[in-house]
Amino acid sequence: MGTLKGSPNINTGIAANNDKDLVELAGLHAYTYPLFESVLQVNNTDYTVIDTRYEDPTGLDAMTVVNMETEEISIIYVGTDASGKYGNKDILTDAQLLSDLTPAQLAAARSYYTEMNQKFNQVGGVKSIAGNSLGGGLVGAVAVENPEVNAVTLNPALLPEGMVDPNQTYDNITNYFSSYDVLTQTLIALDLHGRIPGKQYEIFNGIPEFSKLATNHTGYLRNEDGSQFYVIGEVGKPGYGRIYIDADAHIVSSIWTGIPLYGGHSERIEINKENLDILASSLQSHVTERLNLAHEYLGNSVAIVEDEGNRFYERLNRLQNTFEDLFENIISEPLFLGITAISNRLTAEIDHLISLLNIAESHSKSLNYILNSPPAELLEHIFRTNVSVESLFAELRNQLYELRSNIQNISRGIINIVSDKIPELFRGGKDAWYDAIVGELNAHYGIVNGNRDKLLSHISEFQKQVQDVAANFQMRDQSLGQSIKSKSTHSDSISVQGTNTYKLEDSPYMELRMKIKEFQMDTAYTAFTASTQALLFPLLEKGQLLTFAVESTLEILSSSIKGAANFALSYTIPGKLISLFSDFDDKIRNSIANALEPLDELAATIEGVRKGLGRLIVEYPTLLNNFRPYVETAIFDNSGYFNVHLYNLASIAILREMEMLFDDVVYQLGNHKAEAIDALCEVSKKVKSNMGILYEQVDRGTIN
Amino acid sequence: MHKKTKILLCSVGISLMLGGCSGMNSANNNQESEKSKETQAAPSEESLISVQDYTGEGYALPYGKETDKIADESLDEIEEAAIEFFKEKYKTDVTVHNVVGAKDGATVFVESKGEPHFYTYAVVPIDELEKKVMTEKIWADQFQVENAIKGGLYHMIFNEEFQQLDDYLETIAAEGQVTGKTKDALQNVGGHGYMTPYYFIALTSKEEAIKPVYDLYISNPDESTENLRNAYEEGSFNPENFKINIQLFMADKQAEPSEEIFNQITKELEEMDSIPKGTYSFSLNDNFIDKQSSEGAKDNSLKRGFPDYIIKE
Repeated sequence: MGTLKGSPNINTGIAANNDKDLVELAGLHAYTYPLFESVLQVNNTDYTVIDTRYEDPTGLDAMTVVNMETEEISIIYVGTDASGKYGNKDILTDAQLLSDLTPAQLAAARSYYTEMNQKFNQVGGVKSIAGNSLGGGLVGAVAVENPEVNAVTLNPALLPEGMVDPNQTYDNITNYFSSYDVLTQTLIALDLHGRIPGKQYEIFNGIPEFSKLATNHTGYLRNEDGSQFYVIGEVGKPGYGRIYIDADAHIVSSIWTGIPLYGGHSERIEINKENLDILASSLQSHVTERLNLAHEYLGNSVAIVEDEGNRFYERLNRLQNTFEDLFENIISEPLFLGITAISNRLTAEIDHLISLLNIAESHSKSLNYILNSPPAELLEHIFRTNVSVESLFAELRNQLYELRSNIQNISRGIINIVSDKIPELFRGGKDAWYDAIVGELNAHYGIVNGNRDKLLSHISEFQKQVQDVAANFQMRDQSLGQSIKSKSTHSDSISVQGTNTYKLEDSPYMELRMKIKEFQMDTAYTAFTASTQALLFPLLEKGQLLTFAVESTLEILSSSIKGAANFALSYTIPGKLISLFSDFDDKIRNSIANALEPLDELAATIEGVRKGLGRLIVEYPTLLNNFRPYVETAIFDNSGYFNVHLYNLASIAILREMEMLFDDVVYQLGNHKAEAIDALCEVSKKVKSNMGILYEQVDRGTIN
Repeated sequence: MHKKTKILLCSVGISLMLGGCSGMNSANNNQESEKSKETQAAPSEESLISVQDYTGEGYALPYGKETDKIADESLDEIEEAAIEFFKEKYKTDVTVHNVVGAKDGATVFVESKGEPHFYTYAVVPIDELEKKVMTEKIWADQFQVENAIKGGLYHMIFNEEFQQLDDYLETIAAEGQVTGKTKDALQNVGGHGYMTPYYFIALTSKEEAIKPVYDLYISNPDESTENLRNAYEEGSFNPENFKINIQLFMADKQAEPSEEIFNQITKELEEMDSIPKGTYSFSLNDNFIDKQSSEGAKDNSLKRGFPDYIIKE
């Protein structure tokens, strides 16, 4: 929005028109040390550096520039930390110190102003001073003492205590705060911004990302010529785009006078053909341009949501695989590898255990055979002993079968979790979507996009009406008013664009705003936790009981078999039978050992299984904890979600600015005797209220 | 700050050894021998350095400490990107002299090879947190680069007039009382377009006379000087839009800027009529230059500038 020289009722001497240039000079050019008498270009205006003060021992850096169009002189202050002039100070330190403007630097800043004001006194003296951050603090210090100078700051630092008189308004000072600027936000939070003199306006540039702190602080990311932006997303991926952050593009100024519209309306202007033309052309260019940018941002949000929607199965599968991996990894027991499949290693292992049992059984049978057929000579000396273990073997076999089917049930349970319970994590939302967050955002955007298009048509219709009224302004005003109201486009050869109704649709969605994800996460995850535990725990506990049972049966079995060696001998075995007996005894012992060996292996394996199951019970809550972040990203990719928020934020910033602009339009068109203008005013009110509705809807897509 | 060319760095202390650090610039040699004092007056501020000793060492941009370190890791890559950028966008071969960390990026100081001769800079964005140098996003202030080329073209096509000015300033420097910036300083931290040790050229955006010359040069960088000269639109020239900023320093470390010399040069500039047309500013500084900003103009400088320029119609 250029300034309009020579428009009626405008005091061209108002330096406020310069605010944008000054903010850019302070936030961008001042950091490059232009040499004495070099020329800079800011927003298509040339500025010459007519004095420099870069070597000041206090750490003050300043330059004096002249606007070559208006010949107005301004001082741009760059505050630096005197102790480490180029210490690349952390902005947070800035915030902690709140203000390390040393008295020496403040004094130097003041005397520099006085010096320059005197030096250039022949050509009007210093009209404005500007600076950002610490430089902004210096500006404040100079301006409180010099009410005749126009001062502009961007995110200024605090002045030392006692410098600002609370009873004064300091109307010569305008401070712009970028939302999300850490330093000023901190000051506001600490309620210290009373130490920043003058008017305070928020401009909506910058985005709240911690890593962009430094950039938010000066408002500029030196990127490509003249346009400064953050890059969002990844190249080639949906939603990749830019958010433009030029601090000066966000300063809203009156369509007619170029004076910043903060804290009030611009001066009343006369509504005549010329001013209507200005309004029409601004609606066509600037307003449409800004709204198109907002449109582009929203388009990027939508692209991110759509892409997320298209990747539903990919997100789901990834989450399923993650769960399976986590499940296998929490039991560091090789036996459990593949437990998440129905035919797994563990069931195969139990089959193997059953075969071991068979081996043990055949060995115990042969043991019995040996016991039952001792050498005849020994018969009278030995009590008949028999190891009766068939029933034990049968019992053990049954227990193992049962354990195997239990393990299979556990596997089925896990498979059920993966195939049914995990998809349930995605379900929910207002219309019970299968992909809740995407569904809700999509539904909401369906309405927002329709409304956005309506608003754009509304504005372009309004623009046509303004144009038509301007064109016919010489004609009879009354009939004009009639034709706007009656929606007819004919009346005494005057044709005016008729008024249509643009009613924006309400959106029942996103009532929880961006908290929907958190909400989905909490409800779905709680349900998931409860249902999976209900499913798994009984099975796991049963498995544990079964392994205990197997182990105790094994104990009895082993001791029975071992008992076979303790056959009682009659008083004494005659000496000549000793060797015979020894042979027999050895045979028995060998046979016992043979029967016990597979049983020992079996016992060791079962112990592993029991421990594994126990660990599953103990560790499952941990698994759920570890699983949670994966779910969060799968429900809607975290960075994508944040980018949706950022784009929405950027577009509501524009909508907010446009609302302010229209507020001024309504004000300027109001209270005119002319009927046509009244009619236009009515339309502009509707446009403004529609902007408000859209603003609120887009705002729902931001994280507060 | 990194040197691409190996320079014998001399330490600049409070006291300078006699005949110690001699300037790189032959124009300074004669005054070196005139030094007779063992101890020199110390500069008031350690950020100041004698202009004869200044090679750009110590130049630092605000908030550039970290980015400087990050840039240091990728010098070759930055150099390559800068050369390609100027070749691609401005059809000009450049030499990269120096890379300095700045806010959100690094400033790359370059010098064109051959004619048109100029110094300028590009910026390579740096992500400080990721410690990433984004050479693919290299950019330059279009206004500054175009003006640098235009200044160089001016010097090319008005060679005779500039020769007059250059001869005059060199003669004055040869007398030994005043001097200019060293060539190293121009190369390493110049960046202000067409520069000599004694002045630099600045154009406003309203300078139209050279525009067709610039367009011709960009469409064909090998165009002959004669053809370039013919494209010049004499009729559009307005001296207000073409500035020559002369900046001289006292050769003696202890000398305050001399009114006498200042007045003499001002008078001579006003009287000369064979030098290029345009708006002249002139400042005479003491012997010291601010290391960090490479600015010599200070509080005590004698200046002839806005709003009272010397205009050569």
